Amino acid sequence: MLDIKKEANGSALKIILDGRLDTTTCPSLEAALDGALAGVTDLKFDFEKLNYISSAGLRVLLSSQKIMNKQGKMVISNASAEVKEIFDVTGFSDILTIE
Amino acid sequence: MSISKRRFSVRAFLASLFFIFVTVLGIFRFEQALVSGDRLPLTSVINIAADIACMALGYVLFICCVIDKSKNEDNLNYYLLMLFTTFCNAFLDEICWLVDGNISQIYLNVVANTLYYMGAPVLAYLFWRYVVTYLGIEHKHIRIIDKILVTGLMLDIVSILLNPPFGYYFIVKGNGFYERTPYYLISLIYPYVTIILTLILVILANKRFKDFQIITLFLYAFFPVAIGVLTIFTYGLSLSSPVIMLVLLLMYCVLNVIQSRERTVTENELEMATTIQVNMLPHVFPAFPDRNEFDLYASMTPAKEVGGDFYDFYMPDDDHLVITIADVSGKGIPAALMMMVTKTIIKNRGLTDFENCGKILATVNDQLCESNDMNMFVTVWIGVLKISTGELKYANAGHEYPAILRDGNKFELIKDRHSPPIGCMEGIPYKEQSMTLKPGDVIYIYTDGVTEANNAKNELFGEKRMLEALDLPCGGDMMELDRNVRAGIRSFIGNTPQFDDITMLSLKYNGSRALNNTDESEPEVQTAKGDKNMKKLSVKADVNSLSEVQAFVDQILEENECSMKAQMQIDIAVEELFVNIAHYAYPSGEGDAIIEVDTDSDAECVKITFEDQGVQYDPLKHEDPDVTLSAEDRDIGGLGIFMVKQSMDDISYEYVDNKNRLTITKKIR
Repeated sequence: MLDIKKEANGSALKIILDGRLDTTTCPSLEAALDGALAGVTDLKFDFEKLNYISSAGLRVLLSSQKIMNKQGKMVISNASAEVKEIFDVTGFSDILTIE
Repeated sequence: MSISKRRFSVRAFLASLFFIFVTVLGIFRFEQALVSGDRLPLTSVINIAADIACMALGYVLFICCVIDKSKNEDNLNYYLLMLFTTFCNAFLDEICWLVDGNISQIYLNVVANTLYYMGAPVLAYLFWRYVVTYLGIEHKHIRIIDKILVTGLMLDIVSILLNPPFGYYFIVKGNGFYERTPYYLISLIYPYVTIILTLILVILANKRFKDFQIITLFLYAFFPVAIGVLTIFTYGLSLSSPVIMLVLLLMYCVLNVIQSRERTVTENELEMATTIQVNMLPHVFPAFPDRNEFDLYASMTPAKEVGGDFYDFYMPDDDHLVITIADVSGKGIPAALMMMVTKTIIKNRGLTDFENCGKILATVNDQLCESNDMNMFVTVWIGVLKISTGELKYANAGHEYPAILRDGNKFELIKDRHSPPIGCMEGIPYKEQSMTLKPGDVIYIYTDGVTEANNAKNELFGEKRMLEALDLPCGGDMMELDRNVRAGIRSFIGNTPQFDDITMLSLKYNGSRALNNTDESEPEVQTAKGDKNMKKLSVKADVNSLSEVQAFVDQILEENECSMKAQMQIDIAVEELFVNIAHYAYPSGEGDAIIEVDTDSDAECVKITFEDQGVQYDPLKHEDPDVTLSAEDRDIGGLGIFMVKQSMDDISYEYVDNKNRLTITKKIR
């Protein structure tokens, strides 16, 4: 299960995730991002309540990062230690900006 | 699909333009004729006005057809062709009336009339094709008749085309007036014969139609014929095109609107019914891991139109095992609900009255008959095994004969005594029968979805093939036995859609602890499969089963006090590996996946094996992705298996017995 909250502030967009990002919940995140990134220069993901991410989730983050590389910046904040470890192991900590 | 949709939209748009253009042209010419000096006779005015109305109606119907998405493709094509033909005929009729008596337009008169005459046979043939495609029959008799009709159509058209020089149907006289000969009826023989043939087909296939559909089809034939007959006697009014268009409108409303509404409701119903069914039946195996006196496995593979089959098993006390299999009459939601009720009542009774299964059925029968307005009945086979002695008491309420393997021989059917199905009539006494199972004996119960599975040639799988599949080697494992039978059915039916639920339950008796008093345990009793530390789950290799798989694994991890971090890593690994199987193992259809979870005796380590019978594939052969690349250069493939490799202690793959087996090991504490 995944709850997605969007907070828009001008050209900044904050996305707060609550739950799991797996094969079955990814489509809803993709749908939420589709079209929402137009004109956004500052994208922030709040992962404080995200307790699970699999390769499907990484895929979505990768494609968002590619889009934001062209129009601004993307940051992942408050990720748990386990999620950060996944980013390390897969090399995503070099691709994503993690704070 | 989107390409053909686009093509369809383009064609629809062009056709639309054609319809509008012709209608407007018709109106324009009519107006011209009215306004000009020539006096049009009253009959002409009526006819032309009716034709224009017909064309306008035709256009509206065309739009409706284009918008209406839930139609059957073939049917739609023939309907649209009928619409189009009638529309053109109306326009041709108008031209005929407009130019009648106009000497300068003699050629146009001849051409228009010739084309108009071709309308009737074409329309009749299209009507035949419409009914045939609606019924979806592929009978060779139909094909022969179809060939005859096509030939007849060609002959009729040729005879009409040859009319202008010879004038046997009609002529346009020197003064520009059209006159038909008495022989014009000959050109109508073919259309009338075709329509009658089609109506005969409708009558013969009347079971496939609802009453209102039959009436509508007959009206479609009747009205134009009636009008046709009228015009034989009178000349002047030719209203067949408008009448046919009205009947097409009737056909559209009655046949298609009602049909599509029914279809949408049915599809939703089916989905709901299947979900109810699948969730109700116990499907974690081994079902009683701490009891190695028997090995039990059951499966229910639902058909597209779910049928209300069920199986059940439970232990009312330590020494008894109750197994049940049942088949509810009917399909869809009513059957699914009946299944729920019946299963619950039988289990309630079974928990207390298990000493006498005849009594269980009799009480359940009386209860069901009380509130059975829909006259649904259920065939049931129920058996109660006394584990310590191997005595099996059972009762059969109109259900298929069980198959039994005894003394290591081949499987054979037990022709037990059949009582009536449950739900027919109150007060029926159900007799209990009994037999004794010896260690190694297997009893197999199933529903008619197994024996009546049919292939494209309409042959049935039958009892003989079922027994042959049961006799295939399975290593004494009931899950393998189940798989063998289902694989046998699947390969037999080929591409034919599964018509009925395929439900089966197999039980092997290993002997009680009392009977088994040798120091060396029998191999069947103490295989790894009887080991209480190994649990197996079999699911459809589909992404929708993922949550079930993860819940299954999580429960075992929690029971074994797995650390949070290890659990999360294992969850991710399970997801990656299972989703791979769901996406790639069975490219041409569906299949199952088995997840085995093994905890060693200290429960410090967990071993999970994923097994599928799909395409041979070793995921470990895939190269690891280069994790130093930037976002732009990063290839997303292979990431999942890489994550698994990084987080698991060990990962191995083997391909054995046509099965992919991928095993991961992880320390959990």
